[in-house]
Amino acid sequence: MRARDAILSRHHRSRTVTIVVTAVAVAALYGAAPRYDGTFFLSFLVDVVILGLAALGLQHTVGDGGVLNLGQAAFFGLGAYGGVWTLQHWHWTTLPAFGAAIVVAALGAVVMAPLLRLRGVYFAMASFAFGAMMFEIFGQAVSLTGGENGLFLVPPLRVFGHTFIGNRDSYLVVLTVALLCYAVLALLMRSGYGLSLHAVRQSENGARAAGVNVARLRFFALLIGVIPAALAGVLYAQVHGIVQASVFDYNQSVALITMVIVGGVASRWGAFAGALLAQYISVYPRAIEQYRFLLYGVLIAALMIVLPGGIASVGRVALARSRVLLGGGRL
Amino acid sequence: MNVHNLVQQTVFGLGLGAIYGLVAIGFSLVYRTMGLLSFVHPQYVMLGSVFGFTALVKLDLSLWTAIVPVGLLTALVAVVVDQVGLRPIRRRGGAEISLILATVAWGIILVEIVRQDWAYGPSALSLRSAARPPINVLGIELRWDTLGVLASGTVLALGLAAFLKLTRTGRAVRAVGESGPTAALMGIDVERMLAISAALAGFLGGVAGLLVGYLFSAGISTGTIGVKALAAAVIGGFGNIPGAIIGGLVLGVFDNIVAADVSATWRDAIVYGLIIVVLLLRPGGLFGRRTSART
Repeated sequence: MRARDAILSRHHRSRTVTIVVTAVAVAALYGAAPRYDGTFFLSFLVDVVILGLAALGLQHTVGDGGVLNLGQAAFFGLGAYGGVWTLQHWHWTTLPAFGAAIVVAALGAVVMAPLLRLRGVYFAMASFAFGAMMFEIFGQAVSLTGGENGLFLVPPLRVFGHTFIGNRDSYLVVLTVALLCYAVLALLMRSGYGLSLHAVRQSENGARAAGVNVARLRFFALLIGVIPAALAGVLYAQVHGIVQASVFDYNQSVALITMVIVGGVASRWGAFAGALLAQYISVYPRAIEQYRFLLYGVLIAALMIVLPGGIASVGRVALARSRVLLGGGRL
Repeated sequence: MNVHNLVQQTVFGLGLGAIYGLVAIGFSLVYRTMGLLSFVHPQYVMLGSVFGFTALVKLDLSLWTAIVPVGLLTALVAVVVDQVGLRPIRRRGGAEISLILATVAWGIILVEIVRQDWAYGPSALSLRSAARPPINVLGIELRWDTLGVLASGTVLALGLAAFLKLTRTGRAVRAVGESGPTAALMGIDVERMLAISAALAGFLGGVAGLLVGYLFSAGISTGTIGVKALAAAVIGGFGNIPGAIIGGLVLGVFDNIVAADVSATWRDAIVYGLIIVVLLLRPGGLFGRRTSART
């Protein structure tokens, strides 16, 4: 009985800690808007959050679902083109355009669904080919996508009759969408669906024996993972006012999976940490301008060796190490 | 399309196909021995192309004399990448995705080094000096460089096959490909065999890059040809080495005929679509034995 109380109280404490940390983090994220208003840093943050949102969906597919999707940029693009079509041709606003983007990306996921029968590296290759093929289609279907030149004059974000222009407003919208997706995914992982995913990760055959429909589950992990990317596509188009096919090539797919793994494949916030690092490297280091991507490559290569759990595992690893050093526990 | 054109496109396609085949062998070899989809492999083609620039243009070597040094240099890089970048992850028993991402990272590193101004710079380099005039055989235009590429590709592929079939080391590499743990129990030094297969893949990728530079141009964007060669590896059955060569030739011819007679703009989309169709319908490759790639 005492052991149970101890476990419960520890559980209770860690839950309080989580709530406090989350509240502080959310406040700090919203606080960045007035704090950095009018600075370049804020427009940088807007891009980080948009890319992080696309990576967040991929984290669900790869990390929670165990489906190694190497074609996420295709869904980023499908969302962008689907949403922009309704914005430009039917003069929809942002929220209905989100709906259109989700429908288009979901159709893409349905097209990709037969590939889920392939295992491991075969699915990885097929999804990579799917992404590369979609990029070619984006580039060549000029009447729909504007091809390499892109679609211009995408209308700005407009929600409930209010137009959001400028970095501060864009940041608030983008951040809100990202946090909502984050919260929905966190809740989903606590639902029966999330528990089934956990079970499949522990033992696929065990889960199957317990009545989990693994094929359907993998499809849902893909479908749910492409939705944030589709939303990110619309946000990207509306914030920048332009979409070009080159944003959605297979290098973008590889960049997104890199963000997920660098951030920590098992961590939702890791997706944003990975996006922050990637975007920081591509924007900031002016002093080592021509060496920044070389530095990025070296960083990833080193990270995979010393910290395979990604940025998100830094705290845990450091904590474990310090405990060992202090002699308080065992690694 | 008339027969003459078809034959002409086929001949051109075979040259490109030999290159795809060489790269595809590397993909398959690395997959067979390490179980790894390597994203650094296309960049060995890129490296071979710029090394070829140094050999052919700066040092004024002939294509034939350049093949071995360019291949060896690229093989050396491949071994370094394998030992420094991948071996520590393997030793820890790291996840497959960590290994894949490490290859992505090394691909970035190689491209970024070559891109530097003190290296080769970001623009495309031409290897072509005076190309010899084409010869005509029964009205089909044969270019010497296409023939040379086809010949060197064939020789290398046969050489590799002989190495894997006939030598003791080659047999050990194949044993690791069948099952690493079993090979280790038989007293084979698995890590050494992995390094050898990395070197072989690097060598063939480097030579393919030299040939790409010779036919088209060299430079940091050459790696995209390596990415398309993944399709050749899949067509031949991923992990199947003779299949990779045939897959390369088929892809080269298919690619050329599609570009010439169906649609030049959609050729890449069609090639990537082909990967998906082959994986779904014949995961063991068009010619390979039936294997199960399903879950």
